[in-house]
Amino acid sequence: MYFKLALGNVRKSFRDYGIYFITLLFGVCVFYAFNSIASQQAVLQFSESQNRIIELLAGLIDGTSVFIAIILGFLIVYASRYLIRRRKKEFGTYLTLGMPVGKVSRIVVYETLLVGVASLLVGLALGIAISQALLYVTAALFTIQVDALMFVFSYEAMIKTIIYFGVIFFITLVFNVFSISRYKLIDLINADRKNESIKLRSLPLSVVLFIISLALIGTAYYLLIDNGLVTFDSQFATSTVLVCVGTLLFFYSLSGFLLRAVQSNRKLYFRGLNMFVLRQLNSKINTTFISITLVSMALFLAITSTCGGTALANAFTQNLAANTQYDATLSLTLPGQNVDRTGQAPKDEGNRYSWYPQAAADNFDMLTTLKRSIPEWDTYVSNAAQMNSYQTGMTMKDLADQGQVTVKDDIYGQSMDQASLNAITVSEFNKQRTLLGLEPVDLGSDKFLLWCNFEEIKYVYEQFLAKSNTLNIFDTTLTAASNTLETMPDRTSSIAGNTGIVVVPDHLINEKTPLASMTLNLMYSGERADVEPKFESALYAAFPGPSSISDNARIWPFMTSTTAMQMEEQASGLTALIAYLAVYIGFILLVTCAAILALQQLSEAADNVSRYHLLEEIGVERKMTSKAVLVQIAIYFLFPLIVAFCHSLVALNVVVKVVSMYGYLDIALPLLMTVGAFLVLYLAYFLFTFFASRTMLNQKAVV
Amino acid sequence: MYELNALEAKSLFQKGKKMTEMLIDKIEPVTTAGLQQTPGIETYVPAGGQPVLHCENIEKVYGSRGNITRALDGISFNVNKGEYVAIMGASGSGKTTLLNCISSIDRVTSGHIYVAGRDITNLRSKQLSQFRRDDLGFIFQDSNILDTLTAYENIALALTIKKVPHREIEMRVAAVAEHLSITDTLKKFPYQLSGGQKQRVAAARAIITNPSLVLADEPTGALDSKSAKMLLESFDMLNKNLLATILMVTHDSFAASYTKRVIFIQDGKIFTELVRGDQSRKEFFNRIIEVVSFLGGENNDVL
Ligand SMILES: Nc1ncnc2c1ncn2[C@@H]1O[C@H](COP(=O)(O)OP(=O)(O)O)[C@@H](O)[C@H]1O
Ligand SMILES: [Mg+2]
Repeated sequence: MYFKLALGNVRKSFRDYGIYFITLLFGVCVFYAFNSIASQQAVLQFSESQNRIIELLAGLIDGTSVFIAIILGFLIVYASRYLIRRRKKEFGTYLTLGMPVGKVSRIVVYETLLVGVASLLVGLALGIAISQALLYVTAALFTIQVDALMFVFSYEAMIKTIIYFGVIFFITLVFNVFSISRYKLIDLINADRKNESIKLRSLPLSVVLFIISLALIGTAYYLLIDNGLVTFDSQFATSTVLVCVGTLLFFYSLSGFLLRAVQSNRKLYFRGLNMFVLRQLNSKINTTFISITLVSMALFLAITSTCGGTALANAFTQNLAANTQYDATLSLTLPGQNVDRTGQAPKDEGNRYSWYPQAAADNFDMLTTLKRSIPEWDTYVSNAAQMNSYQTGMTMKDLADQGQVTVKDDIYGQSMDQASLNAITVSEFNKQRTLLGLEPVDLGSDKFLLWCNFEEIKYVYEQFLAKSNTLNIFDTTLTAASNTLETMPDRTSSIAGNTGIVVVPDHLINEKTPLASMTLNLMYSGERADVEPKFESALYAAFPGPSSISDNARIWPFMTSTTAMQMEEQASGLTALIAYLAVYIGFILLVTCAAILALQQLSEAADNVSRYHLLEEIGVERKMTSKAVLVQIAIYFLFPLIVAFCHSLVALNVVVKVVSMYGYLDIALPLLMTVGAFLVLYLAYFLFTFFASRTMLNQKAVV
Repeated sequence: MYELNALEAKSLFQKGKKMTEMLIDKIEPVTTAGLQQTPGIETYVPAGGQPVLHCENIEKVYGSRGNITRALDGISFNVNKGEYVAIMGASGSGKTTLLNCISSIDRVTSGHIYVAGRDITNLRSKQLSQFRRDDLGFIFQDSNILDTLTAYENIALALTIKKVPHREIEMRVAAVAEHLSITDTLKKFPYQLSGGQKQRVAAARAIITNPSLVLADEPTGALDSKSAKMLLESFDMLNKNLLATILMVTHDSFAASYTKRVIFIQDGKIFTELVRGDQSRKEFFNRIIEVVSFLGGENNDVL
């Protein structure tokens, strides 16, 4: 009987439950779909590095899901409290009819269970459908061929979803029963008639607070831009606190400010229902400003994370082609400061130089050793060019000082003090150019070139070349062969990371010049996809195991190998990783925010029925009341979004600067796409709220 | 911002007085047309010209087959311009239903209601809104003013929705507030007002648009006797000085005695009517009591 009553209630108040139910569905469905990503490994043919990405992604989603569950839990508890508040009167009637509190609670328990189980079932079904779609998205992101129709189902994700939401529903249940037991009959019965006294705040105070809030937010923006997200110091902390306090104050004083501002234009204030709408807003702000602030900050987080994430992923892929012009790069870094090519290994307590005799025997030519170990080398590699970089005894800062270049006081500028400046010979430099199909350069005997492609540092060398054309290096004075900076890639990697090399005439380098690193760039004899698997397996067969600068580890003939294809795979994996996480977090945050706003406005509409009824009685036309409802709801939906958008623009602006060290970063497209997708969803919630409110307000009104 | 233009208020007040005097001069007896005559009761001859309100055989039936309530059962009467009329009857006799039909909040089942010459029973929703906005003023038992607006704004609302220019709004609110002695309370919110003050704010809002007809449903129902008296005197003043045509529903004989004419209804039909004529309020009150006790039988239900 109680179950029947509960079922009837849910069906009856579908308008109220509707938005709650739909949001729950979204939550369950997205939760399952993203947690089931690990199971795609069973269906899709991932490469090893892709497998690693998927595992990393699954781990990250696992962690993020706790955060997501907390957000959804908050939403569900909030929503069901709203639903109970809306039905105080009904519960009051049950109590008056002699139903004990325990049994009223039981109705609520059944209702919560009913909605919970229904949303879990439907949500899981939807989630399974969505996870099939995600399968194809992953396949597309990883460029994996999909031939047959595939089906993926994750038992673990299902169990996890059930457990997480089970706990959430249980907590909700406890909250609901608790709040019911606290109600007094008289309150419940009089719920309709509550004569909520409107707390008044002085309007001039609102104006002052509003201006202060703008000042706080402005200061926070300034501090953030100034700090540049480079170090998480007290400036960053201050900025965060200021923006939070500022936003809170903004929403606290906004309605008062609007009211005051419009009141000062009496023509506007005393027109139509303007004063009614403004007073409505002002009367509710005491109870809503905290949640509106939370919503706004959550939206800010959603926009920034989604947009920044997508932009970051884009940055990786966009500059990839430029940074992977060599098919592969093998390289090593010397383990000590004073290793040269004299054949005399430095004295060392450990075995760090056990490789040295071999290298010396092969005349420090990486190719000689490689070809001996891999007899079929020439069938894979058509061209290869080695490039040794030598220590100059100078730091980058020394070079900047010589050119009287002021180095920015950022993290890169500061590290230029310690970073040593290296040099290479022009003949080896020209070999790299030949590999890339570029013309060789001639430095004669007394010229130099500067070579750098790391975005954040390029300016130092560019300014150096603009200001002076001589450089003192290796006790010689060289003149600049060109006043433009050389920016061609020095190796294959995911980012352009050459922080600065001086190209010098060969005669300045001899076998006593201490080495810094050695690099071998190479080109395959055929298509990357054809050659690389064979080349890689031959390479790993000849030189197994990882390498590091520890004792007995492999240093010669190379420590690390990177290939263009690896970089591409990593980049697409990273893109997928970031995109998935950003969408997961952004989507849940957005839906939660929209649902909270919607519920708040629906509850507001319920409180307003009598007011709108009265307006119709005194002859306000439908069109006018509808417009008032629209304006009121639009303000509630619009302002948090606008504030979040402003915050995001500033934060993203800073993020762009940080990320731009990876090269050119196009934020416009991801921003537009994110905002577009968000707006559609947000708009859907807004429209639903508007139409539901309008129906609610028209329902009880006059004929 | 709500400073009162006292001069303005006074001049308006005096203008109203003058117009009343002029009107009184013009009063001549007119025969009533279309007024249902109940045998055995004296016929009322209204003052003035055309009726502001003309109800023609209106019926209102609630519910569907098997379970119907005939709330109004063929009611016809007129209210002329400048009249002050009460409708009395026992609880459940159909008073509120009648008022709701006249105010177009509810639709009649059959019959016609003419307000200012226009049949409102077949108006469309939008025209009904306009009708209520332009031709009617409302005062209800539970003061129907908005809790979120100040008294001033509540009164102004009736004008802002008619798109009256704000300067004119200021003048008219000040004037009407002066009439109803609520000038000092204009800045306050409803929760800061007494029941009587709230009702006078509602009255101010009802009257400020110069409606053809002011409808009041048990306006004194929730007031203590002192506030009730004050409100009734205000109505009297509005009727006399501002020429408001007022139709008041009440079951309180004391309230009814302030009016010029009382229509009694019972079970949805007009039972009789009393006209005050030259009688004093006290005499009129006694006559009303007579009818009420005759009507009520056990009586308590009515008073
Ligand atoms: N919405 C309604 N549905 C059904 N019957 C109604 C409705 N409103 C009023 N009634 C009935 O119509 C009759 C007249 O009611 P009402 O006009 O409210 O009386 P009064 O205001 O004189 O007390 C009563 O019998 C009442 O029960
Ligand atoms: Mg009634």
